[in-house]
This record gives sequence, structure tokens and C-alpha cells, in this order.
Amino acid sequence: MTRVAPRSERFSVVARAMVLLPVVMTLWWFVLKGPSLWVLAKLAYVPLALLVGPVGQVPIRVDAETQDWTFQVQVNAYGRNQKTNETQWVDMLEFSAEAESIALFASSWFSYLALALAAGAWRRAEWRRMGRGLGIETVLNVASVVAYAYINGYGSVLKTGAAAGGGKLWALEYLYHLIYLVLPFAGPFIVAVSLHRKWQEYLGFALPERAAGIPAPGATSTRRA
Amino acid sequence: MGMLSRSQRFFVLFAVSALGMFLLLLSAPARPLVEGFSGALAAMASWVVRLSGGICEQREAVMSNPLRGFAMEVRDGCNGVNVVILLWAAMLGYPASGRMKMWGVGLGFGAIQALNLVRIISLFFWGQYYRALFDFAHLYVWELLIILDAMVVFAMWARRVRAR
Repeated sequence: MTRVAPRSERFSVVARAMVLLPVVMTLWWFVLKGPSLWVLAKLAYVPLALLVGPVGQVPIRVDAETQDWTFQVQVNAYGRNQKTNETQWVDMLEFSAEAESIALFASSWFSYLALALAAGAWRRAEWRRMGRGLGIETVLNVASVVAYAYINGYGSVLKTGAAAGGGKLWALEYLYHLIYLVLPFAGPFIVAVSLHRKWQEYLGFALPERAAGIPAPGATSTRRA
Repeated sequence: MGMLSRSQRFFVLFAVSALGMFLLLLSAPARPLVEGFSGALAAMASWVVRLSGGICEQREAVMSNPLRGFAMEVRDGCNGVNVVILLWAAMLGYPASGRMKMWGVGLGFGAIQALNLVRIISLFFWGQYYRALFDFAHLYVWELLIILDAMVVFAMWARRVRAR
């Protein structure tokens, strides 16, 4: 017979998440948004330079006053000049984005943190797992920033309609939808369910620790005589 | 698929179904349907606002209060469809009978859209009275709580499936 965790235990992870998500996100929004964006800019610099930036150019600059992010993206495609209506070759493109538009990518570190804490990640035994989760989120966030820069740069040239790129444009819009409207929000939940047993138990992917024979954290071991 | 464990199989099916449904969502034939759905949500939210004594004008997916000079549009991401797709993908990936899946798909859609309606109405008022916090409430509180709602619905449904 399968043992099921008591109802209160099952719901505690969700109850904690309902409280922690707004609390942690408020802390992020009012206190840690700026520092987290600074960290994201530093982490994304090398991948942007290697993957989408023009050779020998600075791939990203953050304006000290407005905090706007200015990207330089290698395009190498034909585009239509909006003033002269002539088709011309575009090597690279520079565009700016408000910090608010990029903040989505930094937010998921904190929503993941809230979900990990809801699953008991404050315990020492869970720290390594939480570190792995934050690492995965870092990779996802940096990859999303790189994709965001490429899609906006290359996509804006394709949109001028100089080259037949309907399929490519649609593929970019699809990717944009995923990295901008889905991944920053759903990513932390998927990572939390993949890594944290309490979430797996809640969704029924894993047996409760006691039923599976795993001592609960903090539990004292007992020997049979 | 025989080489995969049950949870690996679930994650593969979940990912494939979700990517496929997002592909359909952005396809040209689906766009008028999605935009019509966003408009219907805005109409329903406006009706509730007016019913409770508030002032709200609605045109397609745009809700506005001209007295306070505020307008907002229900767009992709605000219409709850992304979260519905993720929930449906999870249900499709979970081992259950076709009947239970159909039941879950309907229940999930209703549960998410009911909470989303509350979100739209609350954001309409947030936007009028606390404009500076509108984006915060919109993107970083409500969106996450709606995904959490989807997790709760999925857990309840999966428990029911296992009990059968």
C-alpha cells in the first residue's frame, strides 16, 4: 500500500510558496533589482561577445544614469533603409532596452529561491541542491539575454522586409514568446520540481520521505533492538 | 521511450506537448481566436467591474477608465493562455485515461481563467490607483501566483488519477 503524506504536510509547501513568492519578489523589486541586473550584465558580457556581438566591439553597455542596456549585435543580413527605402547590407545593429524590460530575466533567480525555500532549502542538506538550481537559473537567464539581444537585433532587420524571411521571422517570434513570456515565469517552477523532493512529493512524482525510507531532515535515527 | 524512467518520460512528453501547443498558439489561424479570447476576457472583466459599481469602458481587449485617464490591454501573457498550455502539457504527459485527461483539461482551464479574471480586475484598479506598482503586480506577483494555481490544480487532478 502506498503511504501518502498527511494533508497538512502536502499543502505546507504550497502554503509556504504562496507567502514566500510575494515576499521574496517584493524584496527583489525594492532592494535587489539593481544589483541583480548588474550581476546579470557582468555574467552575460562574455557570452554576448562570443555569440552575438560584432568582433572587437563592446557587446553591451549599461547607462549609469538611465540604467538602459545598449546591445551591439552582429546581423549580416539585408535590410531596407526606412528613410530612402533602399535595400542595404547590415553588418551590425545597436539598440537599447530599458532596464525594466531586462529585469524579467533577473527575476527568476528570486522566484526560484522562493520556491526552493518553500521546499525547505534553508536546511544545510538542501544547500547543494539549491546551489545547483541557482546555477541552472543562471544559465537560463544568461542564455535568455543572449537570445533576446539576437532576436531584437536580427529580427528588427528582417522586419524591414528587404529579404524573404517570413519563416525566419516567425521562428524568431516563437523563440521570443518562449524566452520572454514563458521561461522567466515557468522556468523556476520547472527547476524547483526537477530538484526539490518536497515539490515532487506534492505533485505525486515521489513518495513522501518517510514512506520511501529516507529519514526526514532533523529526524533522530532509531535502532531496532 | 522504453529506456526512460516514468519521470523522464513525463518531462519529455511535457516539453514536446508544451512546445507544440505554443507553436499552434502563434500560428496564423490561431491568432484571431486568441485575440477574440483576450477580448472576451476583457469584456467579462469590464462587466464585473461595472456590476460592482466601477467605471470601465471596453473595446476589444482594451479596458479603460476615461475619468482617471487609464487604459490597459489584455494581451498574450495576460490572458492566462500560456499557463493553461503548461498545465495541459503536464496533464498530457501524465499517465491517465483519456477521460481523466479531458476532465483535467476542462477543470484546469476553468481554474486558471477564474483566477486570471480576478487578476485582470485587480490590475485594472492597481493601474488606476498605484500606477508605479502596476508592472510589479502584473508580472512578478500575479503571474507567479497563477502558475502556482496551475500546480495546485495539477496536484489535485494527479491525486484523483492515482486514486482510481
